Amino acid sequence: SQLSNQRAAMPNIKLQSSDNEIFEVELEIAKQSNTIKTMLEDLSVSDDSDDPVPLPNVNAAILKKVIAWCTHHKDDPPPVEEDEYKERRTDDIPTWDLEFMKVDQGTLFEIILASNYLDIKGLLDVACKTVANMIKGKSPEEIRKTFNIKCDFTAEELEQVRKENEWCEEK
Amino acid sequence: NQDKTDLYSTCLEKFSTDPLRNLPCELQSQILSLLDCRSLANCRLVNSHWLARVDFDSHLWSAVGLRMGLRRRPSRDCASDRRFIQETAAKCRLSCAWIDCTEGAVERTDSGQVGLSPMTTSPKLKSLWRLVCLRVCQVPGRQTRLHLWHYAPNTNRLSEANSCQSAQILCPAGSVYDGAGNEAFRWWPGALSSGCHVGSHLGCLADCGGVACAVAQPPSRSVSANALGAILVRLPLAPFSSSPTTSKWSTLDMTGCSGRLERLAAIGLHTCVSGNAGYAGAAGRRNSLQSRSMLSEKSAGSVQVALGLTASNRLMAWIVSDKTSAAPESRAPIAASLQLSALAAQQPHQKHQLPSDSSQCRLWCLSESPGRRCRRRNLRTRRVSLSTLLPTPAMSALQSQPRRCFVVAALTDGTAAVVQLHCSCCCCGGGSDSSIGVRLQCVARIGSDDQLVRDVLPFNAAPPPASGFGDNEASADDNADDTVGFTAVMTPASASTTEPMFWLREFACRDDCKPTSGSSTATSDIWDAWICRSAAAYSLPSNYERLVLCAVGRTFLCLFASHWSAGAALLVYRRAKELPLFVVEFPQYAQTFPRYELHPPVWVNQIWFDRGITSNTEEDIDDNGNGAKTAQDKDDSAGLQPLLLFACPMRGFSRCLLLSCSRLGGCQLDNAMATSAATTDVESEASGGGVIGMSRSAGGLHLVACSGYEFNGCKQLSRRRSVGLPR
Repeated sequence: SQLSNQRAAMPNIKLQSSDNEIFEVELEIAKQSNTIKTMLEDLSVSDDSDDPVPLPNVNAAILKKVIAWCTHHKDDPPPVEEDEYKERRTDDIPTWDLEFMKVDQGTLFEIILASNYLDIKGLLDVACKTVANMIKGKSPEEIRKTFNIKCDFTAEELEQVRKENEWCEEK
Repeated sequence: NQDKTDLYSTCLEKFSTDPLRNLPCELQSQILSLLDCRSLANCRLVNSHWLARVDFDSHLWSAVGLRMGLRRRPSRDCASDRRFIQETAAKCRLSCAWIDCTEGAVERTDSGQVGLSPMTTSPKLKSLWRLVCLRVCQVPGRQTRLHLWHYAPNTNRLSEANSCQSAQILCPAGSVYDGAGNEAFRWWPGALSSGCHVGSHLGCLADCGGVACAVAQPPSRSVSANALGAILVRLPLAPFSSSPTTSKWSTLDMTGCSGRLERLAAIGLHTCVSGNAGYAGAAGRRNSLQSRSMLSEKSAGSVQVALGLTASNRLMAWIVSDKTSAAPESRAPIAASLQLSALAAQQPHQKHQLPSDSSQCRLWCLSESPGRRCRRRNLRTRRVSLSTLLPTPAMSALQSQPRRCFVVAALTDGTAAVVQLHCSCCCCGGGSDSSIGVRLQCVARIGSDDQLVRDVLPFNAAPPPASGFGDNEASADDNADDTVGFTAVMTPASASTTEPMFWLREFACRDDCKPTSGSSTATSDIWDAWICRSAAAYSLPSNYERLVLCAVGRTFLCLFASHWSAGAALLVYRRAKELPLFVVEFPQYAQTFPRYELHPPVWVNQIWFDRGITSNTEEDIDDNGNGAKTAQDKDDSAGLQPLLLFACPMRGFSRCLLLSCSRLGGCQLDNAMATSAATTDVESEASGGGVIGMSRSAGGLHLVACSGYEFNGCKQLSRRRSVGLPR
């Protein structure tokens, strides 16, 4: 009950999706988005303000997913900057996030766009790794099938690219 | 359900086809940067948009290059980045697949003639002059070729015997065809092979996509293009269940081997020549021709040992015996397999005697990582430093070395695996009834000191003259100082700036510590027993990052070090002394040693190196200001300086660095060259040159070199003057 009292005492903020749906979330959860955080600071929005923060690039369905992710990860430590030239793993996605990312491709890519717009690094990382895992280990044909892509190469062009690829075979 | 419907309604249309394309460029880059090289290559094959996306992402290729360990800084030119990575990766891989059969074919004849002068000797001697070099050559922008050179005594020339195009070499499923159009053998780019010795087999073992092919050429037959490369053994690797035999190789015993060869990453081949009592002890004091004459008359034959280490840390030994004349009663049962994890229980001193009535190829599974097994993923995806140690070819040619120590080392992110195989070739009986036996002792070390180990470098464990070898048991005194091996480990640079960055750790064995037959010593105990004198650290200059242990003797050891900015240097140590005896630096080669490995240096007879020459004055030692550490030495050998003379060709470059480092001006290659460090370039016109063999005799130094696509002839560097060289 003490925890619920604390929760109740936490200030909330309203977020308005592109389709004008209003979501009321805790300020700390919303501030996982650097975009929202910056907006609040720049606009000097007070905690008790009733004005919703407009998010014109995120629709309600995706914003709901994003809020769910942020709520689950609200106690996570801030993400650390990684060396961009260091090989990054893609098989280290937590179980909850794996389940969270079990959505259709359209939603997945919308989440990527939304997390990029909202500047939520953790969510963007997980979503990108999910897409990378969809590519890894697949043949070109399987990649095409996965993403519904039509091959526009001629046979000669395909052979040429294959030849160019020889150098990284079995490395 | 309503939420799901909403998601579909908003997302499905936009991302129905090629969703990656609908992302902003930076997000595409972020996703692609998570992919490995292989996946990126597959992405290039998806469609033209993906091809362009992958190809023209400068940041992506820069990151890929740096992840691969390439040192070049990212440029703004993505095309040059990709090309650079492509070429470098190909070269790196080719260097892994570099087949270099180096054997000094230069022998001194009875008449005193030296080198490759026209021979007028007997047919028996002519057969000793066969020289074969199998080599992959590549010049950027041109096709890669596999060259097989062999020396034809009748024409006194090297001829090209086989070649193939790059696509065939680099394609895992590719085949190499001989001149008649028959499939000769299939080559796997990750395989490393060794070549042929004078009068011995040409052999290589290649992983051909699930099939290991042993390719050999019996010494009794002349080298011909059609015969070379013929597959003698095809060994299905997944799983090790069947035991195919061929008419040429009577037995391929795979009993007890289980698992699958995932990666044949290294293979070495060497001939262990056995002789009768008293012969080996004289090695080094007699010229090679005399030695070989003795061999041809009295010896039992030869055994070749090829080693491979798989991705799962399984050491494979491939042993070939060419013994053809032995008494049937000398035949011993063939051990089915030798599992390292249960080595002690299987009698580490057990002598494996090969049937002597026919040539034999056996593949033993020696090592299954006991306990902490290197993670397969790491071994596959991370850089694996893996090498097989071979005795230096020149030494092999000039003196009989019945005992060999092979080391195979693998390194993963957190785990290092080092397996040593001590191989002795035993001669049983005498005369025509003699037979060959192979004694194998294995020690393995997997996983200790891993956090500090960055690299495990190959070394040449040069055994001392094995007097009494013909008795099959060398005395304890003879072996008291046997050097089993050296392992150079590099500590992380972040450890401390005041600490030396490199440490050379000396491992030595002591006979009384050897595990006895039948003991139940665990593998780790065996290792501990063998490492009786460890952590004798040598201080190494911190500005070098690539070390090759060139030579080891009882008194001296020598390192060849290089760095892309500092150049190269030759570091000579007196054993058990921390500081180098002297350092000969070659800063002018700073740009010559950027990324490519050096060939193992070709040395002259080891005994010249180790016996050294007496220094007359201290000034002689220190004339270059490189240190006169011997002034404080009070032991008997304090006045000795090692005689250094070696050729060091560089992979991927046309130049062969030939060094003569006799401190007292013993052998000079050219009058204009300095006495302390003489260098010369050999055959610098084409790429991929290398020294095939080198020999030194009273006439001077003789170097056989070939380079690149075309054999440019044998170059003799001969000096009549021979001053101060111990005989």
